[in-house]
Amino acid sequence: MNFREIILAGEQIWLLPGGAVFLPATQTLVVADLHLGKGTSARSRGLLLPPGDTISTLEKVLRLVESCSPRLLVALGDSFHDPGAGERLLDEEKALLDTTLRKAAILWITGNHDAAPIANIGGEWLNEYQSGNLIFRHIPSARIPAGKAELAGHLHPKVRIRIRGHVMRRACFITGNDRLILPAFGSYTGGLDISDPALATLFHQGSAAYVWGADQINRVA
Amino acid sequence: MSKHLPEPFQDWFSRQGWSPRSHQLAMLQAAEEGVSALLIAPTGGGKTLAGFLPSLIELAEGSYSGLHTLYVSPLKALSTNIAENLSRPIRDMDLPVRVEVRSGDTSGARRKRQQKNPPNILLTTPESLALLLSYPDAGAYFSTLRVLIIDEVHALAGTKRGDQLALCASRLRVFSPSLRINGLSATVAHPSAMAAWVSPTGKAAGVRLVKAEDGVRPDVHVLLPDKRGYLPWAGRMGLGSATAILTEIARARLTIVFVNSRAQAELLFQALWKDNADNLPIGLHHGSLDAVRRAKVEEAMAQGALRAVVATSSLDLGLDWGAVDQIIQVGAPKQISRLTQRIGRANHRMDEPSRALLAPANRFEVLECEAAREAVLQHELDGDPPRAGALDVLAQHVLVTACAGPFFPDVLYEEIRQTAPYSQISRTDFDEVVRFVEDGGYALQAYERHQRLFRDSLGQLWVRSEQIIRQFRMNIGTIVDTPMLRVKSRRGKAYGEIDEYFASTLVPGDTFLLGGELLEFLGLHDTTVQAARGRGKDPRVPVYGGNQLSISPGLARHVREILHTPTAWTVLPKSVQDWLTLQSKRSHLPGPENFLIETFPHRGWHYIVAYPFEGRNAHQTLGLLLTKKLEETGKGPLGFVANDYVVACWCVHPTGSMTDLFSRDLLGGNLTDWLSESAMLRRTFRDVAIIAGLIERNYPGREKNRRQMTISSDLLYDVLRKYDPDHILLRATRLQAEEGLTDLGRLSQMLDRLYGHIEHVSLSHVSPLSVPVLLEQGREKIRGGEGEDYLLAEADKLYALAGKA
Repeated sequence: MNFREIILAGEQIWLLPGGAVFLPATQTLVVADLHLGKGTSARSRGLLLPPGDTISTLEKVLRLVESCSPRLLVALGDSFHDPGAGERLLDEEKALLDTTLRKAAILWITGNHDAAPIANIGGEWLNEYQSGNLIFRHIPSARIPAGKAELAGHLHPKVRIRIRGHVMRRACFITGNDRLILPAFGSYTGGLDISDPALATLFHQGSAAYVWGADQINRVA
Repeated sequence: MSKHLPEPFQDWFSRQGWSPRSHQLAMLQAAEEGVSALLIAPTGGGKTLAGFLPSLIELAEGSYSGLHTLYVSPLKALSTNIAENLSRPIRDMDLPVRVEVRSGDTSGARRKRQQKNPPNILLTTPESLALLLSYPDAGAYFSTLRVLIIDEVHALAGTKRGDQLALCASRLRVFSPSLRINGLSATVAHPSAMAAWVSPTGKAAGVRLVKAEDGVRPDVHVLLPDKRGYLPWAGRMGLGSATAILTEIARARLTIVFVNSRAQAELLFQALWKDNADNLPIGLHHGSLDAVRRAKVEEAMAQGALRAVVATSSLDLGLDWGAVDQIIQVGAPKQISRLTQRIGRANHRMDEPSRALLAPANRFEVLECEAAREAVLQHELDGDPPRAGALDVLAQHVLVTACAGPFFPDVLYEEIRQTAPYSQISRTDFDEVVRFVEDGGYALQAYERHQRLFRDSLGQLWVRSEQIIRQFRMNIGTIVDTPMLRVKSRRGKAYGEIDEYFASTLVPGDTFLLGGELLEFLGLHDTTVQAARGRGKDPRVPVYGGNQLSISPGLARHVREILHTPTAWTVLPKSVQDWLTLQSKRSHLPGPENFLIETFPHRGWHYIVAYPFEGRNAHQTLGLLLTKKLEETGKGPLGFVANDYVVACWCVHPTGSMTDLFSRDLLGGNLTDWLSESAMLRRTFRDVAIIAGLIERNYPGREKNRRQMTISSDLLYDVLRKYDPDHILLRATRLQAEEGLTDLGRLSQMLDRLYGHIEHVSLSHVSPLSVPVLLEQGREKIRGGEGEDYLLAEADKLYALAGKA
């Protein structure tokens, strides 16, 4: 599999196409902002969105788990779009999740959409997790302890790239000295431009944005 | 005088110094017989009066109570204007008739009053009518209705607004079975198809076709720019003609200067004022201006306070602006019928010729102006007959119907088949649309709770909750604009709107033109652009998405004939003749016997420009096919652009053999998949999703971030394609997109014809004839292909280099 290695707080981090991260030292796979159940979340208001987003996201996760064989899968929060999303999972979706759970332990970090653990979903729930020098949380923190680095989601970073007049807008990884923000992995997730103050203020000392193409992960900003 | 016209009306006509025209009497005759009618008349033919006369006569006795006549037009402003015009005969003859307007701007109190105590004549738009029909008391309200007048039929038939109106008319017929429909239309190429469109049965046979006499032949000239007719190589703004236009404005009392885009209106308005030494009062009118400012301009025009107005299609329709002496069309005329209608704006008297000037903005446009002038004088008309009704509009109508009360699908199916647009719809399609409205209609096993409609034991469908009804009412309508952002000063003064995409390219300090003012971009706050009066020279020109009109294939053919007949060039200005001569020296001229293809490097890309002259639709399809094959053969195409004459595409790698590229197997492979990926289909899906009610325009308490909506329609599209490729909305999307494309059969014939006649010219730089297409807007980008991968890798290499330095 193509990947691009970056080093934060002395830890090897591999950026993967599709927006996930693999930590070779601990055999950990990380994804952010799955927003499972988003498609069916507005049905009560009469909004009947196509419900395929959840299954599509779960299929993508399972494929990644199968190709990386991680010991642990960390979902960086907002894994479920609302507290009722777990109940709305269809049989097919539950089966996909169970298959994934048989292949890797799952650690659900709580997010703002899923602040409390979702009932009847396998795996462990934590507000925050630490492994080696890496801290895993949903919302990026203002200050990171010296010598540590943080992996977070929440902001759904996107980047506008203009090359010889051709403009592209893509989901991206954004990283600085001591943090990495992952793009949203869910199928119905939009994005925030990396120039937005909410993102820019987190990277006073400069940042690098990475975008995946068919063959490789590229630094584009 | 006529036996159909009662005495008070005859007297009124005489007092005006008029005598009733034969088409006005024919409309009265139709009304007496109780049949629907379509009146086709040029502007200024007393069309509106002809439409209303039967109603005024019926109402004159004063015994009628309740709503008698409903008038629907595409423009709110038109309703207001008609209300004023009707007030004159009503006042003069002291008729017991109450006329009122209802639109999105009508106050809540007034709406309530209209509901309780209906006027005799109500003037409204298709959207407001659909909204009225969504209320449970619609049946009672419209039960007294005798006449439905549809104005500007030519502008509605064949559009989604027209589909909606046709469906609403079929509802009205249910509430009032003897309803008569009076359609009013400008001259069109397919009168009987238009007659079917206004028909209560969907068939032309049930409608009286009334044609007014043609007006006097118009007086049409080509107006060349200043500097002794020098025409720019490209550009479509026509700013070089400002002095010439001013001279013409000074000669007439009132001129409408028609342009093709809002950006052009802004720029030309500026250019005219820069030169306007005599301070002639010149106004500006386009759809992005604040409604209040537009109303002021309209008023000033009506009062004769202006000498000229620079306008887009916002003034195309039949507002009665009084005494317009001439129109000046700046830039390509595009369509013969539209030009004829614009010219019609300048005939307030039918017995005098309308005066029109065509001011080409570039060299290609001179050819087009000459061709269009000839075509208008020959009374040629273009435009296709109205297409079949759109399925997304039907979905909206199903919900409109359900909001008013429960319905039986069988009954509704028979009802809608009485309209021309939906007369051929299959029961399967109809049922799928109803199922979509009911529960989404997804193939994927869906979460069962929360359907939108439910069925009772009789098989009637009901809306599940009041909340759904309230939310839906805010999404009624079929106009989906390019997302626009409001522009306001820090104090909240409204300047107008700009395209969201354009706003996203601005950085603080940038200046741009809006409403004739130079504004400085301060920042983006939620969905509002903050701006202040700006200083400085080079403002950026707002780019408005909007719909790009393409010229009719007929006009494109005329242009081609001029192009390869050097003896026909004598009517052209010298600079244009020189341009064509230069093209024949540097490259070749496209001729009747050869198919010219040019390749050249330009701005770092490898360009292919082909000159089929088959019209924009065929070129769009060709562009899709070319980029597909270029992607398959690893050339990394990044985009293509098509106009009516030419298609151009560009790649990151050299483009290879043209004979191989333009071979018959261009049509092989799976075009459907490639088409589905295209930006064109994604845009179409977004519109379909909004109209069908898959996503909302807005909902209470929160104006949805429009950017998010755009993104999510794209994501929805991808998910739907993956899990539900035959979903009714995807089919609706494909059907709609295919209308804008030429079928492969025709394209295959074209390729057969071209094969063996390909004349490939490889150049070191841009050719003279290709310049216009390279500046064309509406480029289609190829997303996520090998070309973009290459660009991303290129960006990465730059960072790697920077890292080493």
